[in-house]
Amino acid sequence: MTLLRSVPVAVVVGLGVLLSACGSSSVASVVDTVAGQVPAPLNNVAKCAGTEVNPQRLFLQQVGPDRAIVKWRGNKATGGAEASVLCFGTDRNALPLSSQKSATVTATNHREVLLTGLTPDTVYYYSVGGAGSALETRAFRTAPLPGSLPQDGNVRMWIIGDSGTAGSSLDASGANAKSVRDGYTTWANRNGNEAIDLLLMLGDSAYLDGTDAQFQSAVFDTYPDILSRTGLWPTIGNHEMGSSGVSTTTSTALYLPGTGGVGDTLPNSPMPYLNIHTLPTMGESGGEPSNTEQYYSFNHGNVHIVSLDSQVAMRDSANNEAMKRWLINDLAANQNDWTVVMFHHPPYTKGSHDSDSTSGGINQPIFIAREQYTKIFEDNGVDLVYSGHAHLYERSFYIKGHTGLEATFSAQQHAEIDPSGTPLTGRGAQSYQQISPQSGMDDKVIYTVMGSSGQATTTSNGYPHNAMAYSEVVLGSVVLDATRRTLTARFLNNKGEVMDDFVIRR
Amino acid sequence: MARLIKAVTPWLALWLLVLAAGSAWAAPASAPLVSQPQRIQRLSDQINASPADPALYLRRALIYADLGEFKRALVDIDKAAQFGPPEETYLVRGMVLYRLGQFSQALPWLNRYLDRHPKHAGALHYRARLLREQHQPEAALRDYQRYLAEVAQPSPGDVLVTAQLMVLLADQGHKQYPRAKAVAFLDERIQKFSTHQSADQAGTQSGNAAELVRYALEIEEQSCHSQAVLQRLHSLPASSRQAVAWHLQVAEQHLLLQQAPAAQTALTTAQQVLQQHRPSPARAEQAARYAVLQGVLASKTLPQDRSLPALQAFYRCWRR
Repeated sequence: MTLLRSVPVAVVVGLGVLLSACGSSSVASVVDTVAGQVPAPLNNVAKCAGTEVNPQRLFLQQVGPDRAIVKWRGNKATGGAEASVLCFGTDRNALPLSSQKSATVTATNHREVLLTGLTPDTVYYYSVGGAGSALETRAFRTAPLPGSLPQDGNVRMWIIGDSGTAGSSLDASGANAKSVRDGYTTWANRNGNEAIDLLLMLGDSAYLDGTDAQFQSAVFDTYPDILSRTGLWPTIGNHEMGSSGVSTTTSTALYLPGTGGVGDTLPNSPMPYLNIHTLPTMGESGGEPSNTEQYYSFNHGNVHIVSLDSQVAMRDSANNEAMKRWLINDLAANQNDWTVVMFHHPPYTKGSHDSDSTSGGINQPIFIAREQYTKIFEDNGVDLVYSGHAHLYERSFYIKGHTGLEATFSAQQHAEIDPSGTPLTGRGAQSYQQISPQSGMDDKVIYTVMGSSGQATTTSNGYPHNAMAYSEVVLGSVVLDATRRTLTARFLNNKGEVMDDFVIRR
Repeated sequence: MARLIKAVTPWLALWLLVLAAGSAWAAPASAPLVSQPQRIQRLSDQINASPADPALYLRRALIYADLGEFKRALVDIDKAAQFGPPEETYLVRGMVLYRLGQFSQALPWLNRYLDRHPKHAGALHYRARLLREQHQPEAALRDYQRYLAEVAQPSPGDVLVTAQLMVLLADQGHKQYPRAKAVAFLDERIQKFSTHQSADQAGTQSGNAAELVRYALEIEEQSCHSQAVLQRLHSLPASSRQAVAWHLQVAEQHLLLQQAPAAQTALTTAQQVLQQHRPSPARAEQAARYAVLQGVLASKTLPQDRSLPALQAFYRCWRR
């Protein structure tokens, strides 16, 4: 897969330190510290001289305009040592020695390097192990400045949900998730091959229990070339809790280490999802500080993205209240063109879970989300909400004010409609306007269930849900493109065919 | 976070990795699901192989509870009590009964468990929630405080609810819980949150415990401490200080302090920021709030219609 945009030769970073470094392994390069300056030759810069390591897992976190975290663990070479350093730069063939950074080691033995002082919207190459040049797949583009667009004018998000079947009893070979991944690649190759800027994972990323080992097979072994180039932004699913975990634990502090060889121990305790990811808690990538990795927000160019915790925090009234307060303040401060919210439990679904179901345990967040959160989204300019949990694809009309069971949904009352009273589909001439012509306000939201990136299973009584413009039980993923004026979503099946699409305009 | 729990009985840890929670709800059996039954099946297979292992029954009980199948969960807890020390099933039984909404039945089990393991964070947290649901704020507060003493990195919600219970008790006239105590508690926690150390992340991050600052601010606002409110408003992170609501709050406090020029400046900025936003219900509410404050600034009197929820504290503190 070729996922990176082609990089103009002159678009390389200005790390001032590069200029002062020198050594025996000199190379010629160019530097352009500030946009518009003429690149100057950079000679006699010492290159890193370490050995490239191919970690068992390698992924990027918190890729922002001026920072990024590279995180890895293990070495695929039999008996090979883990890398302890990383070199990076904007010239793939000349990673300067001055860029070398030592990794810190986390409690679960991940190596982590925080890169700061980066230039927005710029491709950086890196070498795990500190070699002087980078492999083709070891590169990422920093986010544009908040509110800005990337050079190609489009922020591309790839969204997968409930993808974590690979290696589990649900799909030992991983054929399903890999076919969804390859379906995206097929579509991308036919449509300009634009790079993914963000990977959003909607939870249940590693079946059955979200253990560290299951994350390895379902995430790191399934999407390696994407994860080494694209910032990963997840949300917590109900299968993200560890082998001894049950999905309704209220506080991650309550996960205790197991003993006696039966219960969870590191790396599965206290909670693998949080052990693995390094998520923003202090507004590191924009948005309001949440003070917890369980829910967070960030900006990527002109898109504001919020990840809520519908699995843990939402089930505890005190923590749910805190999350709601944070969400309202976060959205109030947001001025980006587009706002996308993700969490695992869908407010509306007639898939393998039923949003009309009265079963308390596993589906309680469905009710909480619908009854307590949808109004917050509508009031505060949220455009799209993505969830998983049900193993199919469902996409709603452009709606507001529907907090009841399916039977209470009325297109005339809740959806954006045409003059004849028919709900608009969002496709073609029926594209939506961000500011509704009906109300004159940005007060409607499209809810999508994207839960078939690893398995496509069953439906519930009443399928399809009346609030849905499109529903289908088929493996797939969503590609979301945000330009200044349009937000375009496409649902791709695992053959790379577009099954559903819609546009919101502004 | 595993290392953050100070005291864990090893045998308990084995069983109590799983501390199911959730609001209380009625619980008819759930529809068949795809992946959770596989977890049940796996545990059932393990139980068939080791039918006298109490830990397996407890795990399956918690997954049944997760699915809303509480009867089956309770049967498994009985089995665990049959094959192992019954006292080690107390917490899970208490949790399952709590989730069933049977608070009064759940409480004795949690009490018994905490009698044996008084520092067990999970049990303390569960009982705190239960007592809060049962409208026993003083007892709930004690458990939340004990819980916070056991965990180095609590969630913001647990800190917030502790402060809210303190305020509730202050409002109920408990002299040992003055509002100032809640503010001092929040300040202490804001300090702790401001240098955040995650258990499984490298490095230390600094930042702002914005939601705790906001709650401290609310308490000060309810007490009409305008200077303190202003100070706290200015301590919020830069992103918060760009919001229309922030400028409106600043304007309110300056109006209360009879600082008209500063109020005007804040209102002007609020209006400018409002104009940059696209219209939404939240912005409409803020525009209404702006209009009221602008009117108060011009007339130096409150409007007849004082129904806007966001301005209730402002109305109450006016010329007080």
